[in-house]
Amino acid sequence: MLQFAPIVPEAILTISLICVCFADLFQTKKVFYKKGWETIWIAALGLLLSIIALVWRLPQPPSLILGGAFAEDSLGIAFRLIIAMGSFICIFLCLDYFQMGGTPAAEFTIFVLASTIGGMLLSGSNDLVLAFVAFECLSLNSYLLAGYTRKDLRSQESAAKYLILGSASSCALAYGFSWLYGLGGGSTSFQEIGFALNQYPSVPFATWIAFLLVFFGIGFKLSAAPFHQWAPDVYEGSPTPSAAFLSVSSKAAGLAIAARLLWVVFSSLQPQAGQIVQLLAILSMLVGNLIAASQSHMKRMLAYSSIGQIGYLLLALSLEHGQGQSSLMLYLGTYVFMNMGAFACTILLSLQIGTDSIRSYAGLFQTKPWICGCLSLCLLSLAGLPPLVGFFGKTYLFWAAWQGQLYIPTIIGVFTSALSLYYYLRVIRIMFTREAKGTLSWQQIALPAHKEISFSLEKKDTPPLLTLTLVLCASTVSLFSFVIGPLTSIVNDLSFFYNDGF
Amino acid sequence: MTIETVLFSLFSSIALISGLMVIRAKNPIHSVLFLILVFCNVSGLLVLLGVEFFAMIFLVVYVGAIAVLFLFVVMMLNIQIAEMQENVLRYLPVGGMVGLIFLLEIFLVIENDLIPVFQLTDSTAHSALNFEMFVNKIQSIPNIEAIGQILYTHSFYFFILASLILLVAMIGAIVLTMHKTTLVKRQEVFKQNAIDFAKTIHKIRSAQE
Amino acid sequence: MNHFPIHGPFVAFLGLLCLVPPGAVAISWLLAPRTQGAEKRTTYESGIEPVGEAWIQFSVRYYMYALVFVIFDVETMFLYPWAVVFDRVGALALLEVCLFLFILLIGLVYAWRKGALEWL
Repeated sequence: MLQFAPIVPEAILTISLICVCFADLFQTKKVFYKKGWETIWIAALGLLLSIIALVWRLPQPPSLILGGAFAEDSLGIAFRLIIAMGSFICIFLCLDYFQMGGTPAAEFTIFVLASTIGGMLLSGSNDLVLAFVAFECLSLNSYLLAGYTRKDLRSQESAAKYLILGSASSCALAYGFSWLYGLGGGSTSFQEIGFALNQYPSVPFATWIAFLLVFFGIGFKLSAAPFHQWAPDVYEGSPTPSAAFLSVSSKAAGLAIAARLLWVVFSSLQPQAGQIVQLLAILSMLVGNLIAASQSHMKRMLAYSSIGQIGYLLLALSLEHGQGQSSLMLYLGTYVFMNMGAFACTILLSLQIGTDSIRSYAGLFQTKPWICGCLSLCLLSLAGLPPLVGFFGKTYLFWAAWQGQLYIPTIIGVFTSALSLYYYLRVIRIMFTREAKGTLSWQQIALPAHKEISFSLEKKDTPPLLTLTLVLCASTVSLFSFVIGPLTSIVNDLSFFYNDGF
Repeated sequence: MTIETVLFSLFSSIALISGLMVIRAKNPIHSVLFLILVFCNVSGLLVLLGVEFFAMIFLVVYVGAIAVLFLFVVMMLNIQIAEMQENVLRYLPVGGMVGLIFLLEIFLVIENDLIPVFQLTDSTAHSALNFEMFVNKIQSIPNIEAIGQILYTHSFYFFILASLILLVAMIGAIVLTMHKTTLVKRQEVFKQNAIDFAKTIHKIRSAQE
Repeated sequence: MNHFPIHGPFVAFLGLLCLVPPGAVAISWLLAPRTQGAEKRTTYESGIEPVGEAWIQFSVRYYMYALVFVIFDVETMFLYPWAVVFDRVGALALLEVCLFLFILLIGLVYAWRKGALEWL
């Protein structure tokens, strides 16, 4: 049984998913919007155990299990850790949000757990079939998460949009995988396909078809720039915890599979394939950061900002294997906390003032100084201002890109990240300087799903779990910069994918 | 001309014509029925290829379940026939382009000697793509047995993961379509049937006391 | 490329099956009494004049049944190969199938508890 030790984290999650199902099925409370405490705790415990198991597996030598379909290597484990941490935070975000909206939170945790399992398997998958099944597991649950508050029309619309576009991208991915299967001489293992593609370089045209199709599918999941159109609508419409999950865990899983494919399978296409990824990165940085500046809705702005962030991450991905991955991991690790913190603040504020519009944040600093302070910390870290952890991640990333002689993309990256400071600061300026105007009261603007807010809010002004999460994220964002040196050396040790040096 | 060629021509031509009818039929119900015809013919083609398990999957899942889903969707949406007669040519450029790309890819795989554009640079080493004749690999045993011997032994985790996906799909379907709220008073058939005369009387009596 | 020797019984079955639907139609065509008339051609609406179109909008509820049906249909497809190779794959496969069915059983219990199996 020892050979199955590498998938213990996923097994723990599967068991906790089943436990969540049972806890949801056999609970007796009739009032359904009170539900959820037990399920949240079970899911959180499962994720915590899974994180501990991942940390336990981290120093192990890389190995292949399940007949070569699943690779346990330090970079894969790092991606799985990040996915699990993102979901862990996301679980804590959801309870208060759904309780006040009158939606049960149990199914939400089921979907989050299942998509975490999918994402973690995707990060470790070393086989076309496992990669596709895990990708579908992740995607299917993402659609369900986007449409979770089904009483809200916008949530339904965003789920439908996401489902249709996502299915198209999954089709492209499956088609690309079938090309890879043919080109790899009937093998589904990534190593063997990569070997075959290196061995027979006489058919680059067919390899390019496979590459473009696969990266179309994954680029959609990452919401990289030419495939980003779904992201703002889906983030705006879907419940905010789902949007947080989509922007962190789902993207980390997509990056993991993209990195493995790029560095293991498509190594024969390497200089040009990296250039295409660079093109995606440049487009994402430009599009995300330029359009985010004109948004008036907080979730839309965060969506465009996450498109810009994925541009930076893709820049690290486009480097050759051996240069990019440590900066990629460091930035991704910090991005989890920054982005989750920003989403946590958005949820808290939307629960208290009833809207996500940036304009309605005016003067909130006077009434809610703590939340506004945390939001400012997270946003400034996303922008990459010096004392915060985002600065170190971004600097390290740009430094690595400069070392890799990507001069023009790096300059564009620095330029756009300076640009991004504008729209992050705009939110902060509105919160701190403007007077609170006589805006519409939240009852008038509130979504149909939020009708039950009125009595919940009077009881407890600050939802405990959300506040806890917020404090966790904000303190991580501000305190991790003190330990950035050791952190960087740890990340540098997590270096390689299994057996990929062709 | 062997019997396989005849059957192949028969199945593929019917599939092509009914595929065309799926998008040309005025009545959406007819479209769905033609789609079922496409599925049936494709499953015939799959049998000719020697992958009879997938032919069975096509019949059971696609014809038996997915087509029924399509029918329900059509009936649910309540589309009038008049609305369907819109300009179909609008989608021709995009659709034609996608079709052309697929056609070129097929030529790339099988007939690359005939088209000068796609001729390989190193034609002596590999005159065609190094694709496998996969059917030959599973020739010796029926492929349902081959799948069985792999799925439950070497690839059992796919099997478990598939069950997980199915579970979540089921929960998702129920979450998204259930319209049960606590606000509506419902008829509780079981409770009402189970009411005992003696007990009811007893209750009222105890309430009066 | 001749696969038919393996599928001998299958082809015979297919041939038999192709005869069944035309046969059923032919028998009813031969045996059924035939009457003609205007009344025969109208829609039967329990004696009331039919109103509107025959094409009505279905409730979304049917859709959920269809979805649940699809899921169990796919589940069955996973079990067919097991039935074929049951004697060769051993007890471990039995355990796996039990686990598979257990996980899907949770789905069924879920549907039951949430009232998805009830009509309204």
